This record gives sequence, structure tokens and C-alpha cells, in this order.
Amino acid sequence: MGQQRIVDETDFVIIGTGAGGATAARVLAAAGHGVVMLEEGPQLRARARPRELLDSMAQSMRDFATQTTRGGHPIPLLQGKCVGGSTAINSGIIWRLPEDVRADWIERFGLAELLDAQGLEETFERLEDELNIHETDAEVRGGNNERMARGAAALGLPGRVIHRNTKDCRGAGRCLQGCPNDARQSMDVSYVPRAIADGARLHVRCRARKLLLEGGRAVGVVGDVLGDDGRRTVGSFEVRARLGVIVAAGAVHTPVLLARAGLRGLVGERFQAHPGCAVVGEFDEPIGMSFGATQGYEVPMRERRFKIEALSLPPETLAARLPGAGAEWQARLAKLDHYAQWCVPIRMEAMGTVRRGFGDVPVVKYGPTAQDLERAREAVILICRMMFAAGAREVYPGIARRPEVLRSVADLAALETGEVRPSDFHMMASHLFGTACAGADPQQSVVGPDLQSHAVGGLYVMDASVFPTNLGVNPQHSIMALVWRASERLANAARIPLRQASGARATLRA
Amino acid sequence: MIHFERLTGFERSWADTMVGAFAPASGPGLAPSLGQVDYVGAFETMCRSTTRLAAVGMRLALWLSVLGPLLVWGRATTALALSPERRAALLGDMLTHRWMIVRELTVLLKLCASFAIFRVAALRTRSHYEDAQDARLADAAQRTPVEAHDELEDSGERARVRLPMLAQREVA
Repeated sequence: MGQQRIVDETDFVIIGTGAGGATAARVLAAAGHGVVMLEEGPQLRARARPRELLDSMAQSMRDFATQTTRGGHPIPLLQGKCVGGSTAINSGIIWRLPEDVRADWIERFGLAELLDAQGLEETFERLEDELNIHETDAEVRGGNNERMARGAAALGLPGRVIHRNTKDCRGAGRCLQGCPNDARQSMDVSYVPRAIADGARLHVRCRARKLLLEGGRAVGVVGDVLGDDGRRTVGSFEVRARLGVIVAAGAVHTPVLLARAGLRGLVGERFQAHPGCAVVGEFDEPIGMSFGATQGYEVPMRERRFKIEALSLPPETLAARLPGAGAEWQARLAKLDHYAQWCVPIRMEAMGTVRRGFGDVPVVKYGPTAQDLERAREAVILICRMMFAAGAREVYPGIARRPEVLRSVADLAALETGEVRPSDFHMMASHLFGTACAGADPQQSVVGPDLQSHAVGGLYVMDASVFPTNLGVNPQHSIMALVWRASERLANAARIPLRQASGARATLRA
Repeated sequence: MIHFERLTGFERSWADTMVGAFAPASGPGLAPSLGQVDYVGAFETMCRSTTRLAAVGMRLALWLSVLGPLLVWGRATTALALSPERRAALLGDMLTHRWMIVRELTVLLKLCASFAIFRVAALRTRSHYEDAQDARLADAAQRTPVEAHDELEDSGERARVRLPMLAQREVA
């Protein structure tokens, strides 16, 4: 069988179709520029997305969520690998860039122009309008979210209904497997099709391997075409870009591509995240986690650097989270509708690195500090208190070397004392930042305020890699806003007569 | 090249026994009947989809569980020689073991068991997980004219009523 060969030429080539890449495509294509989007994963249709987690994770999650940080206490890193990137497997939680973070980035990293208050406000408003961002409707909040609201109210905590990017959400409770109704306005159902309607082209199952540089400028991308299993190489591609190459492969893979292109300095440094853990509680009456917004209620504790969120899990991961094996576990499995789960992403102070490993596999080194672990403990204890306040009969805190099952608030004493180690927590991280930091000073950053590389002309980074710090809130909206503003400037700077330079078409040879 | 995702014949048999040991057919509550759950298929799907390192970890977890009685209890036997109840007790001890690596690798097996069990529609139903979603759909169906039930959405073994937009809005 012959090898596939894809050759294409355009104005801008974009690697990745997540929040950053798709937003760049949407803006540049609407401005009349030629755009080619490259996506390593498949394009998944709503009806083809399986309800069963084994199949859906194999289809849309990078490495089945087994990509982890290196070291004695690995933390799994959750990333989407499909059209839409992580926006296609998240809960669609929307937060604007917090004001304290904006001020910090302006003061320490010289990003005043990119983060101009009025311009940013207008961009957020536009995104919110286009993606139908609104408070989760009462009709689809479901038992897990409502129970959390009750727990927060009982303790006088500042809870709020989560804002999400959904249209006609029916409460299928399957955000993590991919919305079966295309209600969540993730990039695969919003900006990617919009960009295509404006003339952009999308190549799926195309894994970027190398950026092409000529005369100190980025001029294209080469890589592998993958087979249906997403692993086997069945061909190669080359996409040439007349005006720019935009890397939006996420904070783990973007620095690997940049390093391979010869960029040095802070590439891969300053890796930051919001790792989190979760607590499960059993209630006498049914909670009904299967119905409602996967995440529809939250308690932001910004000054304490964490945010508690309701998180409805599919039965597979909920089951694995319940204590025991054999009879004890089976008894719990027979009443899965009686459980609630709430999680806590933590704005950790830890910083790590992403390096290019053997075979260009990213090597992520990262570990929570002692202070981070204390925050995790504090957050887990608070969730346990909320669970009991909401009426839980049993709570499973999920901290090793401590009781697996708590039956009253008095049992919390066992969590409050003694040293906590990284190995005590089952953490996961889904918000990843910082590995191609933006800033005005080339000594302290990888890209400038226009998100163009300080070292290579025509090379742009447009994903969460450019965030100088983590945020303490869900980053999707901030990624889209920053990329929107940078793309608008880029579109204007590269002003050309509409479509004049966009005549090239893809060729596919088998 | 070594294919870590491909199990040998005896490893397949071990996977069936050890992953299945989390929920023995003889157990109470949600007990799958013999042969109802494809544990080996789930194990191999996981190995195929994970990083190579994680696939090695899955294999290691399997071997560790088989040798669990020696490693955890200091008894010179394998888990294969234990009764289903003792096997489950062994896995329970491994899940709370003082060494993180033992705990984490055993969690991988437990995840695999969960993936496999909830791939079976009958077991999903018996877990009552989807009761709230089903009740919602049934309620919506009651309020929808019979002729509107024109399409069935095939999602695995259980067919679901697909509602027209008007009815959906009414529900939502």
C-alpha cells in the first residue's frame, strides 16, 4: 500500500485545534487569510462518541491520560487529542482572566498592550456572545451540583453557579466523554467549523514533527500522517506558510516543537499547573450524578489558592474511586446513584520543566511544594466538611495513610495532623501553562507581547504555554481572549487583499 | 520492537483472573456472572492506548498482583492459588499498601476492572448509575406525542429515545 503524502500551502499554518489554535484560525480566516489547521487526533462526530469511558478515552484523550510528570510521584496530565483539543473533553467552565493576574502580567512581564483593559473586556464579551456563555441553567444542574450548593450554603461559603459555553444543554452528564448532543460549544463545534466556513482547511491525524525555518523565519511544518489507530505512521505531510507558523499544541508539546527548531532560553521552563484531587461522598438518598451539567457549581477560594468544583464522573472512574475490593466494593457498585463527587484544582506555586526526550517524547518534571501539599490537605478537609454539611453518611477523602472512610466530622481529626507527602494524594492536572512564556524582555520570555518568537520571525505561539503564571481559574476563556487579540493584530499586520494569497489548495496523494 | 500491549497466553489468563478478582461472580452487590465481562479486552485496550511506560506499568501491576501473597503477606504462594474471596482481600490490602508503587499499580488494575464492568450495559443498569438520566428521559417521553418517537439512538446495548427539539426544550 502506498504512503500518503499531503502537501499544502497557505498564509498561516496552525498546529493544534484547541482553544488557542481554533481561535487563531477563526480570527485569521475571517480576516480573509488562508489558514491550514493541523490536528494530531481524529475528528469526532457527536453520534460517534461512545458513552463507555474505555472507548471514549482511547478515542479522544492523549495517551489515555497516562502521560505523567516524571519522578517518584507521577501526576497524570489530562489533554485532549482530537479536533477541539482539550475543549472537546472538558466541562466548558468559563472564567475571565482574574484582575490580579492581569495586573501581575502587565507589571512583571510587560504585557500592557496585549492586556489593555478595554480591549480585553470587548474581546471577552465577543467570545461570550459567540460561544453562548452563560450561567448553567437551573433545569440541568442535577443532583451533584445542587448538593454541593447545599453544602456550601450550610458552611457559609461563597459558592456560585458555573458559567459554561453551552447551547441547549440537556444535562447528558457526559462532557468528559464528549457531548453527545454537541451542546457544549467546544472548538470542534464552534470555531473550527466557523474557520472552515471562512475558507480554512483542516488536516486531521497529522502530527507535526518539525518546523521549517528558512533565513531565520518560520516557513512551514512537516510531520507524519497517522493511521486510524492514531499511532501508526501511514504517510507524511508538508505545509508551507507564506506569512506565519502558529504553534498551539499545548504547554507540553509546544516547547518540544520549539526546542526541536533550535529555540533555547526559557523554552520548556516555568511549567506550571493546577493539579487537583477529589473527594467522594455517599448519601442516603439518590444524588443522580448521571443527570445534569458535569460541572455546574463551584466555590472559589482565591485567597487560599484553590477552587472547589462539583465534578460528575462517569461510572467507570467513580467506581474506581470507591474504596475496597471484592464484596465491600461490589456492595458500593450496586448503588452508584447515591454518590457525589467534588474536586479541587489548586493554584500550585511549584514550577517544573518540559524537555524533549528520546523520540521527541516530552519529559515533564514537576512536583508540588510542601506549601502546595498543605493547601491540598486544607482543601480536601474543607470538601469533607461540605459533604457532611450536605448530608453525606460516608466520605472518602482519598488521602493515603489516613482512614479511607470517614463517618462524621469528628473523623476529620485524622486528616488534620501529621505530615503529608506527595505520594499521599491521587492528583491529576488538566490546566498546564508557562513553557513558552510571553513577555517584553527576551531574557525573561520566549515570545513577545504579540506572541511572536523573540528568536525566529514568523513563528507564533498561541496556547497556554505563553501564560507567564498559572491563573487559579479555568484557563480556556483567557487563552481564547489572548489569542483573539494577538490574532487580530497579526491579521491586520499581515494585511493583504482578501483571498489574493490564498488560492493554493491541498493535494492528497495516496 | 517489543510490543508491550500484547499479552502472552498465560498473562491473558492472569488478567482475566486478577482483574476479575475485584468483583467476583460469587460476591454480593454488583456481581457479574462468569464470562459476562471482558477483562482481558479492557486490559489490552488500555495497554494499546497508553504511553509505552504506562503499558509496562500495566504488565508490572499484573505480575505484582499475581505475586501479591509473597510480596504483601510473605506467603509462598501466588494469588492464582487463592479463593476468589482471598484474592479480593489481597487486592484490598494492596490498594492501601504503605508503598505508593504498590497502591498505584493496583489502582491501575482496579480502573481496568471498572472500565470492563461498565462496558456491559446490563451491569450499568444494575449499578443504578443512570437512573436519574433514564427518569429524565422517561419523563420527557411521556410528555412527547407518540408519533414523535421516530428515531432510536443506538448507544451500545441499550436503545434510547431521541426526542424532537420541542420536547427537549420542554425538558430542559
